[in-house]
Amino acid sequence: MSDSVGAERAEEILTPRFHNSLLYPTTSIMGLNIHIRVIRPVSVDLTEVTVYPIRLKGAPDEMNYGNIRLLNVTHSAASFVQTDDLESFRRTQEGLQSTQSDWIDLSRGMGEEQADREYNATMESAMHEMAIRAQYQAWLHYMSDAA
Amino acid sequence: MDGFSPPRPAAPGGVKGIDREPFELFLIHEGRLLDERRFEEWADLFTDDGHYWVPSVPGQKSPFQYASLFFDDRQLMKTRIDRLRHPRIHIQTPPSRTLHMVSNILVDEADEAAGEYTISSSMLMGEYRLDVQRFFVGRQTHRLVKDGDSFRIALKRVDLINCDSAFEAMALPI
Repeated sequence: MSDSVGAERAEEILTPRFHNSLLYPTTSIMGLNIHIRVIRPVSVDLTEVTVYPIRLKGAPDEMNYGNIRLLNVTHSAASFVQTDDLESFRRTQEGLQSTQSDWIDLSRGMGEEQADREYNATMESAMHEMAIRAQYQAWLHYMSDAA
Repeated sequence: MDGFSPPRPAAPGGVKGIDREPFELFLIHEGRLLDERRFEEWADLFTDDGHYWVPSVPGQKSPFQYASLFFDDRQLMKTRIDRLRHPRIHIQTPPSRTLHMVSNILVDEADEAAGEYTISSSMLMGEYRLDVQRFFVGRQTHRLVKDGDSFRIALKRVDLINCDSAFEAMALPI
């Protein structure tokens, strides 16, 4: 890659910037491991997620095989990652059955956000809930604009 | 069965003149190791270059062209088992109880000189966890190689009848 685009550009291409990109309302592109997820809400307590591996045109077979094998490990129903995610969703759903509060508290890390000058964005610890607040703010913004 | 190609229909009754009992006992033992959560012993049944494969497409021809539910070599099996042994694995807190049944066992192919056999069978695994019971049903194909008095697994392929449906989390090998 360095030979064809130069060392600097090759480094830029090979440095991951985004982990997941969300396209509202139903699509998630996992840039790091090159999969697309389609999220289909079926009912209030059932969501179906379909994961598609991407084969890159012109990429060596080994690279495309590697992407597909990585999907088995990260996002198949039997994968190492997705299984615990699904269990977390199940427990969240169970917790949301509670009628004790009308509100869901998403305030963790509020006020601790930092500017990410490199990407003209905002960042915070992954353990905080900034990303969820940002998603709802974006949703509100787009919905209000449309109205 | 060459490499990863889909299993072929067996001749009626399978290969003639080969006693099915050793294969039947082996498959019963394999399922029991999984049910008793003796995962390390289960993995040790596989050859060093053995694979455990559960396709996601009916008649899937390759684990490399399409995603699979499981496609583990020994290294991935070990990672999977290490994870199953982790005290904080969410999806197995509490753990599942499983029961494997194996039936309709046939010797599809046999090379007695090389000690290589292809065994097909029908499988059913019941899984119970947190008040929910579910079942996995499929045809499995074991490529076995003779190893002393027993066998080792070069490939275990499980074709679930609903392999292309949406699944809740599958934490345990089928």
